[in-house]
Amino acid sequence: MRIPCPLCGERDASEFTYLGDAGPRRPDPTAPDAAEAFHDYLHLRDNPAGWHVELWYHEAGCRSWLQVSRNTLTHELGEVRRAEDLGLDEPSP
Amino acid sequence: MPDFTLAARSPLAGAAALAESWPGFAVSEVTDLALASLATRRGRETEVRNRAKARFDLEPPPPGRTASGDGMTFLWTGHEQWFVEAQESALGGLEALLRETFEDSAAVTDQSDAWANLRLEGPATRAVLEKLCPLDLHPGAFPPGATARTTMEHLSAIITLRDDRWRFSILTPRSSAGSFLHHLHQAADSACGAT
Ligand SMILES: [Zn+2]
Repeated sequence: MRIPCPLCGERDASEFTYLGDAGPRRPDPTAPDAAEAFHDYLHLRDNPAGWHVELWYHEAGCRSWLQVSRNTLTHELGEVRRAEDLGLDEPSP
Repeated sequence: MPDFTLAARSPLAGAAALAESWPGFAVSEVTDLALASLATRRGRETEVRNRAKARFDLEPPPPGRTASGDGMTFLWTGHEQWFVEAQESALGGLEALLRETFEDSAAVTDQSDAWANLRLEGPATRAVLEKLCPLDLHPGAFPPGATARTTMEHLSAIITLRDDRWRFSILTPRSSAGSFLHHLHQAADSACGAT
């Protein structure tokens, strides 16, 4: 599998490390339903057979965090964007 | 108190047969360059460009590129980050010069002794690198002045094409430089015939 880094171009998957689903956001620990929200956040993850939006780190290249769309059935890659450009680097509450 | 005199040693000093050559390929260690990293602080991107232009009359290069001028070379290493190379003797302290130039708009860290700097040259250089480097180094894909950080034999490497033919340089961490050199020798033996 090769991942097209927006900065470096297409690179072998061995240069990247995988974090996981890009969707979940750390819940607000002060909210009244925090316990339930954290249970969902930690344990209830989707496992789609098909397109999945996930986070990868170009560790052996430019060291950017990337949001990658990947088809889990075919490893076809869709849109790849820098997490910072998407505002995903803002701290959680 | 005893009086010690310590001699500076390059990362690959003492490595057996460092400056070695094969038919069409040669490798040697570059020991006279200072190296520092330059990382732009958030929101200061324009200021860093302006300061580089004012002081060194060069534009910090875009992704995958190098830029040279005023006795120094900028190598792109990441988003708004570069390695800067210069002859230390000519500048009297690269790190200090960069700190003075960029003040608090960027983080400057001396890297000189942390990396081994290898010079690879000769018409068979691409044939040797084909055995190590996962990148396409064909001139159409990796033209003169191109630079990239990748891994070779699981070791980190920053590879740059320095001229319009086949003179490459590789920066690789000092701690594993001996292993890297071993792999390079194996690749050269394989591609060019053992010496
Ligand atoms: Zn990258």
